[in-house]
This record gives sequence, C-alpha cells and structure tokens, in this order.
Amino acid sequence: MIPQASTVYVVDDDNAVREALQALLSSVGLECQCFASAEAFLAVADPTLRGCLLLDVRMPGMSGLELQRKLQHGKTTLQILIITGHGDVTMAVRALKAGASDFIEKPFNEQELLDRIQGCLQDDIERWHTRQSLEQARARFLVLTPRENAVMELIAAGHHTKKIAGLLGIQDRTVDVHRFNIMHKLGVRTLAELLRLWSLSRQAPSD
Amino acid sequence: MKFPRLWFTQAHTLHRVVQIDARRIFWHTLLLGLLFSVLLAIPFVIYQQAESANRLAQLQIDQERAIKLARNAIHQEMDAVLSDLHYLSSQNELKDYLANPSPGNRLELARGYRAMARQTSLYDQIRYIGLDGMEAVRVNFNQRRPEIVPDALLQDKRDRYYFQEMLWLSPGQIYVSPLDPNVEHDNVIDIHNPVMRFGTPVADSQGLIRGMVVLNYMGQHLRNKLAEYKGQESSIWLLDSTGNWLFGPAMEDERDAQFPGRALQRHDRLSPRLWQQMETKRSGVHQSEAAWIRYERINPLMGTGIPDWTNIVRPTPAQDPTWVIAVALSRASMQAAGSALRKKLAMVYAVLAGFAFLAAGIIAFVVHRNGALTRVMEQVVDHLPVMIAYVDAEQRYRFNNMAYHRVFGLSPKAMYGKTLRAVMGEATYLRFLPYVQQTLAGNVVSFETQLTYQGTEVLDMAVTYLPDFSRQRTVRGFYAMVNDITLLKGSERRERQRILEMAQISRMTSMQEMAAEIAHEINQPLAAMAMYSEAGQRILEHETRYVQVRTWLKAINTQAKRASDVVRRVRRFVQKDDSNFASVDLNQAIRDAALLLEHEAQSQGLAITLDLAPDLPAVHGGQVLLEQVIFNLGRRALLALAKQAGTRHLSLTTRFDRAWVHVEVRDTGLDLDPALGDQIFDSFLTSMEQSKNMGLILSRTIIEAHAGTLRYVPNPGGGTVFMFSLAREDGQ
Repeated sequence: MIPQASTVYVVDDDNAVREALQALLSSVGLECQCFASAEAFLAVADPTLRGCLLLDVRMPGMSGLELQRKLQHGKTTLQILIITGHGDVTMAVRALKAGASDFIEKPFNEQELLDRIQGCLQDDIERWHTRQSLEQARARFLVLTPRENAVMELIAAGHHTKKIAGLLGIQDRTVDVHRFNIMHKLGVRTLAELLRLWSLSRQAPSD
Repeated sequence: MKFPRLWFTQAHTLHRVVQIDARRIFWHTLLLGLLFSVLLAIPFVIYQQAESANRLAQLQIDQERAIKLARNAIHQEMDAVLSDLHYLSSQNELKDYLANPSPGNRLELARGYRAMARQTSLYDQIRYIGLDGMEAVRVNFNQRRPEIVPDALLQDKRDRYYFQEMLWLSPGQIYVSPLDPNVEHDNVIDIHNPVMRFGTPVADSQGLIRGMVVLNYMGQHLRNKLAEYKGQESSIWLLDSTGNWLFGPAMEDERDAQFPGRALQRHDRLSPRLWQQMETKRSGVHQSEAAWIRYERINPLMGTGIPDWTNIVRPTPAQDPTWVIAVALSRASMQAAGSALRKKLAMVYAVLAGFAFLAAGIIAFVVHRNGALTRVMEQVVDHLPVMIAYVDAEQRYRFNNMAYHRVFGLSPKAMYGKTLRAVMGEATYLRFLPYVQQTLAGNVVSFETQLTYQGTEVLDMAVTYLPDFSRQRTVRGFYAMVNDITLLKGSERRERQRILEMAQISRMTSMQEMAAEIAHEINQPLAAMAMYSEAGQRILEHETRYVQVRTWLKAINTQAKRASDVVRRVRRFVQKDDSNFASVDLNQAIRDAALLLEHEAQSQGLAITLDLAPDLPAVHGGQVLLEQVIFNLGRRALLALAKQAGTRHLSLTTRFDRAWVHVEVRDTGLDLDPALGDQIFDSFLTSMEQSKNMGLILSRTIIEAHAGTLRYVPNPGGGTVFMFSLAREDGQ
C-alpha cells in the first residue's frame, strides 16, 4: 500500500483568509486543499485522506465543532487543528474534549501556525505507520488455518503443549507440528516474537 | 370565638360581629317600658274620671226622672180614685136606693159596686155605710174576684175612726185617710196591703145626709206602679208628712218582710238630719255615707188630671196630706258600677302596657344594636389605613377618621370645621382645588398626587372624592378617601428601575457580542494580510534582488499585527467587567426573576413553582446578570408553554452539593429538537430560531463568564430542563 502524500485541508468561510492560508502553506511547500464550508469538506471526506484538517470554529451553516462531531464517526483519520477566536477558551476546550488534536487562537503568529501544522502532519504520519504495521500483522495471521488459529489462541493464553492437546483433544505431537507451522508461516523465530505479533494484531484498528 | 348566626343577621354584613349586651337591653327595656306605662296611664285616669262623673250625672238625671214619674203616677192614681168616688157618690143606683131602700135597689147598688171593683182592680172594699154605722152594701175585692158580702157578714163600723171623722163632713166633702196598713183597733191586719180610705157623705133628694160611700184603696197598687219607675240602681221611697215610711227600703225587700218585729218599722223615721232637710226644703238632694237621696215633697191629691174635678171641694183631713217621694241611690251600687268600669279599663290598660313594654324592648334592642353597629363601623373606619373624611360644600371638614391624626397630627376634633385650605396649606390646596370643584359639581373624582409631609417627606396619595347629594340633587359635600401609596409607588419605581437596568445590561451584553463580531470581522482580513505577507517573505527569502520587497512585506505583516492588537485592546475594553461581582443568593435571584415573570405566567393561567433549597450557599457573580439568565430561561419556557395544551408547569429549582450550586428551569412545553444540540446557543444559527435564541445565547455568555456551563436535557415528562451550575463561593 503506497501512502498518499500529506495534505493540509483548510475549511474556512472567509475567502481572503482561505487564500492567504493557501499562499502561506504553499510558500513552505505544503500541499493544501481549501473548502469554503464544512458541508463542502464533508462531501469529499474519506478515511483514506492523509494529512491534517485546519478548521475554523466560527462559520455560518455547519459550525466547526459540528463538522468535527460528524467526522468522528469513522469518516476520517485526519488530525484536526481548530482555529478559535481570541479569548474563546471555552470553545477551544470543547473542541479538545471532542477530540481535536490542537487549537490555535486567531489572530495567530504564522510561524506558530506552521509549527502546529507540521506537528499534526508528523502525528498523522506516525499514526499512519502504526496503522500500517498493525494491518500487516493482521494480514499475516490470515494465512493460518482455523485449527492453527485455535492453537495460536491457546498459546497466546499461555498454555503448555500438553494442556493445549488436552483442550483440543489431539496429540502433543500434533500441537508441536501446528506451532512449527504457525511460526514458519508468520516468519518468526522465537515464541516471544510470535506473542508480540499476536498482541499487535489484536490492537484496536485505530487509536 | 364563634359568632352565633341570628335570624336578623345577613350573611355578609358587619351585623354578624355586633355584640348584643342583653343585660343593658333588659334595663333599658324596663326603664322605657315604665315610662311608656306611666304616660299611657294618664288618658286612662282622665277617661275614668270623666266617665264616672258622667255616670253620676246620668244617675242624677235618672233619679230626677224617677221622681217625676212617681209624682205623675201618684197624681194619676189619686185623681182616678177621687173621680171614682165622685161617680159613686152621685150614681143613680145610689139615688134610687136612698129614695127606696128596697132589697132590690140594694142589690142593684151592690152589683154596681162589684162592677166597679172588677173594672178598676184598685179597691179592696167598696162600701155604703148608713148613718147608724152599719154597712148597707159591701163588695170585697177578694183576690180579683169581687164578691158582694152577704148581709149576715156586714159589720157595724160605728166606732171606726174614719166613720167618726166622716160624720162631720157635708156632702161634697171628701175624707182621705193616711195610707197605712189595715189597722183594726190598732192591730195590723195585713202589712202587705196598706190601705187608704176615701170617703164622702151622700144625701138624698131632700138634701138629708143618709150615709157615706167608702173606698178602700189598695196601696199595693201604687207600690207596684212606683216600682216600675225605679231605676236600676235606685229605689223609690215614699214618706208621709211626718216622716214615716209609706213605702220604704224595708218594703222593697221581700226577705225583710218576713223579719219578725217588722211592724215596729212602720213608724221608723229617716235619719233626723235627712228629715230635717226634707221638712225645710220642698225638694233637694241628700248625700250621706250610704246613699244619695233625691226627694220632692208633693200633695198627692193636688193632681190636675180631671178637668171637672176642679170644682169639687178638696178633702181637708186632719193631717197634712203631703207625701215625700225619695229616690235613693246607694253608694255601694254606684261604686259597683265604678269598679266594673275600673276593672274593664284596667284590663285594657294591662294589655296596652304589655304592648308598651314590647315596644320598649324593640326600641331598646334596635337602639342598642345600632349603637353597637355604629361603634363597630367607627372602629373600622378609624383603623383603616385610608384617610376618610367628609367635607361640606363650604370645603370644611365635618368628619375625619383617625388616619388623619396619624398623617397630619391633628385630632378629628381639632380638624372639625377647618377648611381644606387651612389644613393643607395654600400651595397644596391650589393643586387640589380643581378636583374639589369638579367634585362639588357632582362628579366622582379620582387622582394621584404627591404631598410634602412635614416639610421633608414626600408622600404619594391616591385620592377619591365622592360627592354627597341632597334630596334635591344638590351637592351637600363630599367624602374624601385618601390612600397613602408611597410604598406601592416606591416599589413601582424600583421595578421600573430594575427593568431599565435589565434593558441596559441587555444592550451592554449585545454590544459585547457585537464587539466580538466586529473584532472577528476585522481580524479576518488582518490575518489574511499577515499570512500573505508572511508567505511573500518566505518565497523571497533567498532572492537577494528583492531585499527591499521583503522589508516591505515584513512591514505589512507588522502593521497587520499592530491593527490586530488594537482590535484586541478595544474588545477587551468592552469585555464584561467583573468588578461588580459579589456574593449572590441564587434563591433571591430566582424569587426576583419569578416576580418579573409572574405577570406573563398569570396571563397564561399557570403558576410558577419555586422549589428552593434552604440554606443555599452563595455564589460569586453579578446579581443582576444571573437574574437576567433566570428571567431569560423562564421567558423561553413560557414561550414554549404558550403553544402547549394540557398540563403546563414551570418550576424553578435550586440544589447544591459540596462544590456546586445547581439551578434548573423545568417546563412541560414543546420539546426542543435534541438534534439541534449546542446549536441553540450558537449566535451563527441562520434559521428563524435565532431571534428567539438570542436570550439563550446571552444567558450562555453570562453563565460562561461566571465560569459555569449552561446546558439542557429533555424533561422526562415532556418539555425541557435548562440547567446551570456555578461554583460555591465557599467551595473546596
């Protein structure tokens, strides 16, 4: 799977601000896509989008917070950076509670904004990598047969060969053969490695 | 105390509370009743006096009449006897007998006598007596069956006094004996049949006296006749010239007739004094202890009934032939009549006196009760917190209740008769004058005014003037009712002030909102400017040819920041000022807000329920701002309830825990769409709901300025609950 290039998605109702942001971001070489309203962004929102979302809370129609709420239901994995008005601390707090990554008060220092955006993009990349390895681990387990899966679960539960054989009603030797096959298929050499991979695959798909 | 409900009390009047003092009513009734009875007695006494005088006069008239009748009767009787005697002495049968005294003629004569006796029924005996004293003819009355006495029984009357007397008479002369009981040789023969003998000598044709005709007149006849004339309560007596009874009281009484020794009374006389009066005066009245006696002396033979009798010779007996007629009226019978009258009058008087007492009782009761009622009214009027006065047409006080005393310091007595001008003072009076004139023109006038009281304090007064019309529809004066409404006015003013403050706060808050908007609007282009210039700088970073341009871009960036700072400072300036914050009792704030909502709630016909936690801890904040929040939430609830049918409740609740004070405004109105969520607090809501939600936005702003949160949840029973929580001032 080839990771998409990181993009900064900007949602702001103010034309001038939007275009200025685009100018600023492109001046430091960041990819940027602008939307005039929350609804417009929601139309293209997709879990595969990469990068961060720069969101103004004060907008006519659907407000920034509203959009944030809607995006939470699996629509995107984007990091959300909220832009609030000056002194609107409570709004910021609510945004953070609702799952925003960060917020920045307007009017802002451009450098600070860029730093925050960079931070968000970095987070996004890290999270993407984590997700990637997780999915790979999960994919590796897919090659196991149902019987091998059953044996794997009992191994992960910490049972010995004899116990497993007793539970499944098979020979000790057969259990050993299954374990060998599992480790071979997954390409791990030690039991410790096997267990780490197992626990990784069992993690929640997102953070 | 339970007041008894009496028949004369109406349900809703003061009459019920009036106390009745039965003791006083009793004494007043007694006094008045006695007075009435005494007054009532006067006409009765006068009437009784007049009536008894009248009666006495009537009795006297009766007496006089009885005497007159008796006199006439006696004269008639005597005249009849004399007439009979005259006839008998000159009748043909007698002449024939004298001429020829044969037995036949004698029989004829006797028959004539018998016819006479039968016809008249007046005579006990009719006789002819010869000069020798022998009865020649005699007819006895014999109980109304006259009979001729046979010769053998004829008697010799030679020695009788009347025979002796008559021997001396010449023809034409008449002998009359006194009226007395039949006396033979001084023996009373029959007390019940007094007899009066009339006799006259008769002569034959030669003029020689041959004998005499004698009539025994029965006194009983006269007595019966007289008895007819006596009045009811009087009796008629007859006395002879010597004062002896002819018919006296004794003879009137049948029982007394059987009394032994009765004969002795024959010669009894009246009391000497009475007889003396009767002897000296011909007629008169004698009043004694026992009776009133009226009398008249008459000559029984001097009647004038027979015209041809005038020529005959009147008899001249030895005794004076005068009689005294007396009519006696006993005191006892007079008194009996009087007492009967008195008894009747007393009965009528007793009934009337009873009525008098009854009337006295009613009067005493009514007067007492009216007095008590008046006292109650006076008490009520005096203690009303309203000044009540009566002013006459000359604008003088005629009545003031005690409220005047409290305000003006003048007792009602001191106010009486004073003019309005004198009491109010010139300036105030001139202000009141138009109203007074209007009232005196017959209009009811109400107005409010201010009075300067004791030089300093200003009182608000609500005045009502009520004209009092006379029967001719002219205005006699007017009632003044003056109500001190200073307190009411004060609280009205405070209320107005508070609403003004509220409006001011509302305006201030919306200005803050507006400032935030303006700041936002200006900041947007400034931010764009800053970002453009920053972008430009970055692009030109390594271009040495455009150092000048980079400097300019940097300058643009700096100027944009500067403008942004100005905006920030301005915004901070209009930002809510926390300096007025203090301890706030939210319960009190809720009560005040509820008062403001009361009117609208009442017009919707629902009551606001306050469920306030006692000992609610104070919070730190602005009293007026928090009131505004509660007012706004309450108003929103009322708006929601207005569209609602069925159960409608609005309750304001306070609770607290260790750190927070919670306020809930709960209504059962239309549900809010939960999908709206926090949008209802958002000032950028584009829908039509925005104007309605302005109050909510403002409320939220205020609560957040108090470091609290305003939120809402659906009310389980329908409707919405808005709630906010503020930190306890003393909280941990």
